[in-house]
Parts: sequence; C-alpha cells; structure tokens
Amino acid sequence: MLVEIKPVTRIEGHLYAYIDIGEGGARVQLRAEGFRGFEKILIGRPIEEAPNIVPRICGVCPVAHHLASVKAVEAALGVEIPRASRMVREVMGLGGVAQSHLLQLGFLLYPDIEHGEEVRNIYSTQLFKMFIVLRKCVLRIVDISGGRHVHPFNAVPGGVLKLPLREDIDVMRTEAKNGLKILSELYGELRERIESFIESNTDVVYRRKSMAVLVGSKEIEFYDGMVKIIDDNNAELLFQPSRYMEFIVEEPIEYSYSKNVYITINGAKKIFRVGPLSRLTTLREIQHGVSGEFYKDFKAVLSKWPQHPLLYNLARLIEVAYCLEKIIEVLDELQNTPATPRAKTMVEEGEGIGIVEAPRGLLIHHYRCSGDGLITYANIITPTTMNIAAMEQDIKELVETLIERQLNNVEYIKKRVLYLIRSYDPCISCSTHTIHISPNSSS
Amino acid sequence: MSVEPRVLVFACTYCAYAAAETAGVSKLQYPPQIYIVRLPCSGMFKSYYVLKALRSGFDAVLWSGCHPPYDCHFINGNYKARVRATLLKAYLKQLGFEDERFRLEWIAAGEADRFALIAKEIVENATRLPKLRFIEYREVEVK
Amino acid sequence: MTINIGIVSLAYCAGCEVAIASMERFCGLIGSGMVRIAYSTLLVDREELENVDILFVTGSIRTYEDIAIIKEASRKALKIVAFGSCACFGGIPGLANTIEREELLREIFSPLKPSTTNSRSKLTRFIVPLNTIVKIDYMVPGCPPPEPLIETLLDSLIYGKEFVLPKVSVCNECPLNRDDKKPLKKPRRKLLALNDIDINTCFLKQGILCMGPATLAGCKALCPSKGAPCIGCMGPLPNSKDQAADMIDALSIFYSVEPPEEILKAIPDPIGLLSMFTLPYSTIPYHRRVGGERIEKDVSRD
Repeated sequence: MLVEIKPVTRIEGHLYAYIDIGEGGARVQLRAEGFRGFEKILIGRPIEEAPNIVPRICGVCPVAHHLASVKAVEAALGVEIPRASRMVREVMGLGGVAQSHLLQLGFLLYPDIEHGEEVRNIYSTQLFKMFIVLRKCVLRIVDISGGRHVHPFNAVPGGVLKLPLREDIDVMRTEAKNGLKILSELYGELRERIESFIESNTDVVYRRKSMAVLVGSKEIEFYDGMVKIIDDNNAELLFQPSRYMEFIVEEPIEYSYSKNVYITINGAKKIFRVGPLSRLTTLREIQHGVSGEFYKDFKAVLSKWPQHPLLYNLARLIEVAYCLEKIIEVLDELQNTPATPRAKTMVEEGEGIGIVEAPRGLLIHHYRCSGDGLITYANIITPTTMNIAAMEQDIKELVETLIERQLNNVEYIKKRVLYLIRSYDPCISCSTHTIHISPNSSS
Repeated sequence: MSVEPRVLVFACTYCAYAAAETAGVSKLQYPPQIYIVRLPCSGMFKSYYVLKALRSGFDAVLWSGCHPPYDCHFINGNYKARVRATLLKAYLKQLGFEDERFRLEWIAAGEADRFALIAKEIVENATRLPKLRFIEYREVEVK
Repeated sequence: MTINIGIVSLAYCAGCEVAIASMERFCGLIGSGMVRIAYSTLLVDREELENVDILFVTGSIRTYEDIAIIKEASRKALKIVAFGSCACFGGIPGLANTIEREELLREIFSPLKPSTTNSRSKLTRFIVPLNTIVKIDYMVPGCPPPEPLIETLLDSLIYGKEFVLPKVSVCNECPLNRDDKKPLKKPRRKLLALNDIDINTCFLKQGILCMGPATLAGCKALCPSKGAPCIGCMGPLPNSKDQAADMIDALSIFYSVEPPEEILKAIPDPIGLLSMFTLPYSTIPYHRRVGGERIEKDVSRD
C-alpha cells in the first residue's frame, strides 16, 4: 500500500511524503522540494552582505538566520560587539522565536485542534482573534529591534545599525507586557485543547531520540553558548560551536533536496531532535514568572508521555511566555547600558561559525572569507535538516503501529501522519539549499 | 548583407565623432563593421546601452569621448563615463564577458588617425571572439 | 460576495505569505467572509487548486515542475499577481543565474550519483521572472512586499480600484538629510564605513552604497528611515529593466574618483550589490556559460 501526501499542507515549504507499506514494514520518504542553492549564491559576495542575503532562506524564521549569519561574520572578522547591541539582538531573537511559534500555533496547528473546521470559521473564533492581537504585539517588538519582522536588517557586523531610543524601549516593554497578559488569558483554554489533542494521539509510543541544544547563561539560551548533546542513553557531551564539524555529520538523500544529519557521540551515529521539545526536556526549571508556572504544567505532561513529538506544540506555547518575559528582562537591562551601537570592523581573512537557537532548533552558519572580505566558503545547517531523519523514523513507527492495529484506512493514516509532521513544524525552505561539507574542509 | 563582427561605437559629438568625420574627410580607412551612434557627451553614455547592444547581437562596444581633464565640452562628462565604464567592466566580467567586448577610449577631434587605428584594433579583436549567443526565455522551457 | 484567493508558492521562503498573514486586516477579511483562501499550502488544507478570482504567485521559478504548476494554475485564475520580488524579478535566488545548474547541484549529489529514481524535479537552466511564462496582471514587488502596497492591492480587490505602482524612486520617499552643503565623502566599503555611519544623513553622501536612486518607491523608504542603506528589493524603476545599469549611472554622477578603479574597492561585487534582486529580470539575465554558447551540448544530456 502506498500512502502519498502531496503536498503536505499547513507547513512551511514544499514537502511530499511517500509511505510505502509492505510486508517488512513501512518505508518512509520525505521529499523536500524548492531548492535554491543559497550556499553557492553566497560565494563571492562581500561578507557584510551575508546577513542581508540569508534571511531570504526562510520567511518564518528570518531573524534566526540573520543573527546566526551576523555572528558567523563577526567570528570570521574577530569583532567584539558592544553590550547594548548584543541586547538588542537578543530582544530581536526572542521576538523572532515568539512570532514564529505563534504563527505555527495560530495558523498551522490551530485548525487541527479545531478538528479541521473551515478556515473562515476558524479565523472568526475569539481565540484566533486573540492570537492575532498577541502576535501583533510580538511583531511590533521585532519591528523596532530588527527593523522589519520579515527579513530584518538591523544587525550588522560589529553591532546594530540603530539602537532603540528610550521611547522605543518603553513601547517594546508595553507590548511585551500586553502580550503576556493576553497569553495568560489564552493559556488555560489553549493548554487544555492542546493537551486533549495530544492525548487523543498518544496511542503510539515513539522511541527515545538523542537531543541537541544550546546552553548558556539563561535558562533557555537562544543567542550564544555551547552546544550540548544528550543521547538516547542519557550520555552527555558539551562542545564549543566552532567544533561542530566533529560531532554533526551530514549525508545527502537520494530522493530529496534536503539532507540527513546525524550526531556522533562515542563513535556512534545517531538520529537526533532539536527544537522546543528538546530545549524544554533538557531544562531543569524556569525559576520565576509566568513561564515558570507554565513550565510546571509542561513537566507534568512530559512525565506522562516522555518525548512524545506532539508535545512540541505545548512546548511552543510555553516558550512564547518565556520569550516575552525575557524580553522585558533584557529591555530593563538595556535601558541602563551605555548606548554604543557598533564596534569598529576591519576587512580581513578569516573563518567563523555562528550558532543560535532558531525557533525550530539549532542553526549553524559557517563562512570563510578571503583577504578582500569576499566569501569563499559557506555552509548552513538548519534545524529542519537535523529533524528530518527523526521525523522519518517517527512516521515509520507511527504507520507500523497503526497497521499492526488494523487501522489501515488511508485517510486515517494520512491524518495521523500530518499531525505528526506538523507538530515538528518543519521549515522546508530552510532545509533545501545545498547543504555541503566537503570531507577535508574542517581544518 | 550583414557584416560580421559588428561593433557599436558611441561617440561624443565634440571630440570622437568629429574625429570620425575627419577620418572620413581625410580618406583614412577604417573597417565597415563599425556602427557609430552620436551623442552630445560621453556623460550621456548609459550603461544600459552597452548591455542592450551586446544582447541584441553586437560583438563589441566602444565608448569614445574627450580627453580628460579639460577637453570635455560639458566640463566633467568624461569623468562620469570613466567611473561608469570601470563599474560596467567589472559587471560584465562577472557575467562572463571577455575584456575586449567593451572598451573606453579618449579621442580628440583632431586625432582622426587614432580613431581609425582604434577602430581597426577593436574589430580585429572582435573577430577573434566567439559569436555571442543568448538563450531566449521561452527556450528555457525546452528541457 | 466572496473573493477567492489562491496562493501558489514556487521556490519560496514564505516571507510573502507571512507578510500578508501578519496583517490584521487580511485576517479580518477572511474572518468576515469577504475573502476566502481557496488554496495555499502554508495556510489551508487543500491539495488541489480550484478556480479562483485572483492568484498570488510567490517564489521564483526554479524547476520544470514549477513551470508546469504555474501554467496549470494560470488557467484556473481570472487574474494573476506576481507577489514579491522573487516572482516579479527572480529575487535573491536569481543570483544563482551566475552558476551553472550542474555546479549548483554538484555538492548535494556527491558522493551519490545523480538521482535515478527521478523523484526530485529537475532544475531549469536559469531562473526566469514570472511574466516570461504567463501573462500577469499585477506586479507587487518587495522582499517582502511592503504593507502600504499590500493595502492598496487589497483595496483594489475589494473596491475595484485600479492598482498602480509608484513611478518614482525610493529617494523621493526617503526622510534622510540630503543637505547639499554637506561635503560628499569618498565611496567606501560598507563594512569599513559601519562604525562611523550617521543614520540620519543620506548614505550616498557618506560614501556608502544605497540602492535608493535606482529602486522603485512604495515602501516609504523603510530601510533608510530605520538606518539601513537600501538594498534594492523593490526592483527597477518603471521603463527600466536594469537596476544595476541605472545604479552604475547614478554612482558615476555621485562620485568622480581618481583613479576610477578606486570605486571597485567600495563595490567589490557589482552583480551581488547592484542587482541583488533583479538579475533574472535584466537585459543580460545570466552568466554566459549558463545561458550562452554551450547549449547544444547540454540539451542532448537530458
């Protein structure tokens, strides 16, 4: 039996799912289309233009690409940025994560929770309208700190172009507080809905997966830190971003424009997950605030269905609260920081790696530039590329379990597979853009 | 009958065009592949003209104007042409065009022999270059 | 009356869709039933495109499948809108027109042999703008299209007002200070100018490349007013196809540098900087080896 989902709807990008169910089990292929070749496009471009070009990889998480890129450029040129500009970037990054999560929860996931109602009816529900207002608050924060919410431009090598003025900071703080208020109103009902949605889909148990997250000074670090890997036997490994090539390997897939990514830990090659679920699973606690309360609820659900991929949806909701709270915190600090927007930059030869936590997980940008400041090598590994192998494995387990239970109605299988794919919130545009590591390029 | 290769020459009316006229009057020979467009000043030569000329089948383009620093009738038109030509050359190079396809020369009104010489040279160079061929948009649909 | 909208996405980043979906007015229109999204892989759950009143096309044409999709879709639409710079001019993916298709794919295929199962759709030789494939009614450029422009587009859909693009350049809308008495600085590379940039003065005056003079207005000079030089996402002015050529002309009028090669230090990559979004739309839309002599050899390969 062949189950074909072409295209997978309500996700970003062109993804086709082929599930071939035979005697020996299911064979799953996720085919990503929409290839554009960004890493090749970057070659020969002035290095300061990279942060302007790469956001166009993805319109849902452009902020993450913008920041990872600018960090990689700074690492290549050896620039230290002033504290104030780092804070503006953090605000931008947190806002970017929140807006992407809200887009997924509101536009992509919500119709599933409402059990496939017609779009028009969904858009006129009270809950959805509140979503829009909440998202608007977050967008305004990104608009001020990043310049624009789709394809931001404020971060440049050496700092940011424009530091928010005092009144801008006040506006952002008010928006964040408003956002939190709306979120608290939404939270109860939404959590219940998402939980019952998860509960109705927990008849399948998935294998444990390895995880990779960024760890730093904050509870959930989005901007800067070390990479932490926890494998399925709970073995841990911590490494500097600049050593990513030793631990993260890529392999091309014959049927897709994306690639498979594995982590190597203790010599074994492992499929792993990144993203909100991994971030919240590896976390011990969020100390205070509303998100701390929310996180306790999440912990309770997590202990019931550990590592269930549908928990991604709930994790997103909690992260939105966390982001908004952190934004307020960072803004308070920003107000008392000397307003130096940029440090001096020089053109020089170098190599740099920038890793940030994008809404969907770890995002790696790696550039090398020549003495005249032109890019000679670029490599970008996106979170969805990392997740694709895990997604395929989960779908396989799901389909095989369903078949075993004689639930072999094609429509039903399709529905369940879609729920699963959507909860990962894959961003296919991100994953299809020549990912390339040549075997001996890690020197 | 068309003559190959074809070279489009932009000449400013005060210097280069006058030189071409003088060359004609003094019966100096230059190749018939030269097509001259007369414009008021080299400051008026637009980059688009070069791209359009190459796209529409000319093999090479020559910009000719008055000698810097003081010959330009409009004070600094030739300076503008010079910056423009530098950028345009880099742009064309990135698109894979040979250096000989586009050239900027200063020719004063009296230098008829120089005009004839440059004309000969550029046609000679263009003869050695392969014929330009562009795929039209609709051809892209043919696998 | 409900207006049926279809959104067909080709090789895209979803930024255009996010830009519309972020507009409260648009969501309101759907909620109130004025507008219905009949098809969009991002926003609704429908596998087939049905007949629509207006079709938004986003993303650039990268594969032969894209061409087939868009031809098929154009038969089902009364009006077609090229939405975003990728559909209008080829966009940033269009910079790949300087690279051969085989080269572009080399690393993704290695170490495997080229796809034998034919499950990946085949790339076209180069990216073309949408209007070369189908007839389009409106062009809404921008990366993403600026909100005021989307507003006018929605007005034209709902109230039947004619949608027209501005006819002037970004400089006409730019609020930055262009005081003629201020001295003009020598052209500099953006990376080197960043630390003493003054975000309230015209960037070209400070010697920094800003695509304003050669770029269509409509964004209310969003980037320059927030301190960033324009990168030209709105595409060329009306009656022009070559944004890069326009900008070269403009630069030559601004800066008379001595020796002229100095300008190449400020603009080391003319294609990437001057036609970042519009290469496939311009007069010579590709590198010669991509659209040039070697075509005969290539055709036989497939």
